[in-house]
Amino acid sequence: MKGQTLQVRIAGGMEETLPQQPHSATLIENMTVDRRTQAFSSRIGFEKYRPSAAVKFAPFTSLGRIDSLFVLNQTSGGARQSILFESGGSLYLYYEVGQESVLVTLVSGRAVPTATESASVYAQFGDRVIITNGQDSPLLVRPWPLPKTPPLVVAQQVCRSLGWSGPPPAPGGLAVSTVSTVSTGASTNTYTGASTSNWYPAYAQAISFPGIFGMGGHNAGDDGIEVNFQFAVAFISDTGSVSPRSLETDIDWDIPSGKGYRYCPTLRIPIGPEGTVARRIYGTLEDGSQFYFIADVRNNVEELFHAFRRSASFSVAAPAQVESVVFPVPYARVCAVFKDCLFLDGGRDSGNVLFYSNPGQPDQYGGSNYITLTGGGGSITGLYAHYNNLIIFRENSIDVLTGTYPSFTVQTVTKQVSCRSPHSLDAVPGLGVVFLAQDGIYALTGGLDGGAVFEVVPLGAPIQKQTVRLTKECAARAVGRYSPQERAYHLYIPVDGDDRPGLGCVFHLEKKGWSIRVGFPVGCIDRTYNGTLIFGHHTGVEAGADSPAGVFAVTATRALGGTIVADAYSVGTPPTTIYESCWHDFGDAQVKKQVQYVTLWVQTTGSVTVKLKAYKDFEYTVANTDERFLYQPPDQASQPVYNTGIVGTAVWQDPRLVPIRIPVAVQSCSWFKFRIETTDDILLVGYELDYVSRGTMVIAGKRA
Amino acid sequence: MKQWTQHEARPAQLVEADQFNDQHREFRGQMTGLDRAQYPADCLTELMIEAGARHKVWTFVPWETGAASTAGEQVAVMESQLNADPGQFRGLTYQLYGSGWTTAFETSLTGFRGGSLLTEWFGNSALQIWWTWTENARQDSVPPGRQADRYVGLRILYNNVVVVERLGPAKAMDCFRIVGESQVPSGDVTVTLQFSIEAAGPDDAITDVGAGAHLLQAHLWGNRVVCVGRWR
Repeated sequence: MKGQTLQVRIAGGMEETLPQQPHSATLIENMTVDRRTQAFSSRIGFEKYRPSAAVKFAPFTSLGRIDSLFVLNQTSGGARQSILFESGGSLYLYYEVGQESVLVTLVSGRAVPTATESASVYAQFGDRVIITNGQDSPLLVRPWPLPKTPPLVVAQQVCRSLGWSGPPPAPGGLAVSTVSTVSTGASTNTYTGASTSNWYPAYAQAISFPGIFGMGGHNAGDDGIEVNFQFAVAFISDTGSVSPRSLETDIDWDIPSGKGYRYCPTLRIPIGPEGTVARRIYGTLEDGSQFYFIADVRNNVEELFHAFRRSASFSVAAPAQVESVVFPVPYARVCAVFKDCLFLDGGRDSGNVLFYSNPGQPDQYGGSNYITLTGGGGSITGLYAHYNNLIIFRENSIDVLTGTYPSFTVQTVTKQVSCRSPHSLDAVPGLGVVFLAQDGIYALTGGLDGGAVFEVVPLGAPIQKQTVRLTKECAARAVGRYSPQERAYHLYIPVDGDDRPGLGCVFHLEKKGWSIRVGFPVGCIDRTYNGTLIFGHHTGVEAGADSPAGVFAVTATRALGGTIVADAYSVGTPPTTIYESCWHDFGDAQVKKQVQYVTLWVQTTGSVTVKLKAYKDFEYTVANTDERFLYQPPDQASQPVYNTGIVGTAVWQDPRLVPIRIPVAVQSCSWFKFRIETTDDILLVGYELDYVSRGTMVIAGKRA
Repeated sequence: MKQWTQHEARPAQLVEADQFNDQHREFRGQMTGLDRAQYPADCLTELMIEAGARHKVWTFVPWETGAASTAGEQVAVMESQLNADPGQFRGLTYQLYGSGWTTAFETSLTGFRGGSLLTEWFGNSALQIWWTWTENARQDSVPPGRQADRYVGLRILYNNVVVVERLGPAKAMDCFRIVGESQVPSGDVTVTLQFSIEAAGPDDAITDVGAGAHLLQAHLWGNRVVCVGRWR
């Protein structure tokens, strides 16, 4: 009887819903997509960030779970790449300059996130990074420049609290001692601590520029006058942000009759907090209340300031008090940079309020720089800047913010889908923003410009059986990143009640389909400048001394990390790769078929062995004994392989697209699938199934 | 740029050219892409650094050539021996000088690689300042005249852009120093040093009528210039 053939020329991604598309797979585990052939490849694994076996897991040897990780690229070309991460309540800088490869503790004593809390959120602002965690004061870090071996004190200077925790104290005003014009008094160049007599004769010809210098009126009449000025100060941070204005200080002096000098009052100005680079001095006109800019003291060292300017020359009004207020969100949980403003959620106290800084000034917040989100969406769980929009993920909705400072507007996109896993957010080419919701993985596509609309696409529908395993209470610990190197979005989620990610879900752009990964201990993840995903171990030495710990890279190595055996580093075993075809019904499930051959279309990878099992009718038992076969051309001489290829004789090879025909004997069945399993290198392009059918129908259903 | 495994050769695996190339390409890229921020500690020593790799210094003594015995003496506007007052310097006179910025020295710094360029110009100056009162400048005031400011303005230009400018010395005899620094793109840089004296006022003495000599108004001498370019 002539057989029939079912061809799956290009194998697709996973599809767990039944019935399945013929090109889909029931399970693809630990496979990626080969960039040349678009075939599924088993060439994946992960390795230590520092590949040298000699260093073992140094400098991460003593670290447990790594809660958060961020790669900061400060220069083009990726030369100055800083890795920041948190573990055990400390913020570390992994310092690689000059191959130092040491950990520098920037801050310790930070809150360690519980299993149900998301770890710290990072947002790059120029060459700085903002770090929020909802428990501690938000940090601003600029991890360069640093000396080659930075002392602790120096290293900690790259890290400071974000924003102004309060206004500066009012400047101290020194009294003005007036002098007589009759005497031959001179300006003192010292002070006693009580007063100064810096003065300028008001006679126009006595000094140059009499219209510019000196305070206080020249009284030409008989009666003296009282002079009153007020002064205030504000700090200026290294981001150019201006602090709230201090309270005022009065300086008064009397100019009796005949004493017509102008004076130069002296202030004791406060030293600003860490990050302060200048102080700004404000003053009023004589007996006035409106403050004007006098001068900037361009350091944070000097304690005395001489108000040298003539008040009549004041022209630039001081900003209103509401233009810079005390940092409003000391417990911000999430942050993002959009339109040059730093956006922060209100923290646990006002979780549905979105605050934003002045443009380019992440330390400065106007009194009205906030938006209260309405619509019952709940607290903000994540922020993501995407093209011309800031996407606001809330507990029960997704909102979108548009506009430019200070005219931002917010509208709700959906109330049916939400994201409680801020670290799962990432933009994926062609898809939009992909994220994990409580009920699966979604993509937010589209926009609001030019008539476009936002659309929420259930991207993870084909792998719902995997994502329902999510430990919902720990969804906040899910982490995801797009890998340009692998052209895939990786999402690692805690499953089956675990409190840390254990299952990887990978969306392959070329296949528009999913695969899963197991055995990757991802606690947090980010990508380097060249697109490699690096991750922090989710357990570290919590599992015991000498356990794998620290930062690892997802690469094409054929190992799941490594371990320390007998005080020496040992490379781990390769991951087990599984490809399980869909359940084929060959067009009609009620017609019985006899599958005779499975012909795999593969790219040859050498004399590596692969096991094939066949199943029928959704049974767990293997209907066909294991078939072992080589990934070599079946009807030609085998291609040379490592270990047996001889230098000078063997030549470099291209993989060949060959059919590997494997007989199976499953007898009659309605549904059929096969499974291949290996720890070796394989490239699977597609397959075809040869079967015969005599038209026998399935018998009638069992009577109750 | 740090790279990890692109291909791992294992037993029984095909000797695949493209896989080998993947790893080889990454290794080569790592080596050729080495940035100074990634250098191993202490891999560079002073002896290995080529001259001018990090900075370059140029020194000049303007006007040291030309007129005899004028080491560092300005000759851009210099009265002839015939017309100068024999009791004075052969310096700048209002017969030769109208007003405005006059180039005292100009040079081209070759081999500038881009970065910080600092120029320091120092020297001595003489200035005719005793005729600095202009009578009848203020009609109704007492006294009616007022002082006429007199100084030797100095400035430094890079590629015709003013970097620094100062009023300059205002005493009869003075030494001066003017320092300017700016970030300059790579390529040859034209450094120009200029001076400017006030134009003659209505009451200024410009000629000794009896002797028939042109009176000195200003003079520069003992000039030295140093330029420091830094690019690493």
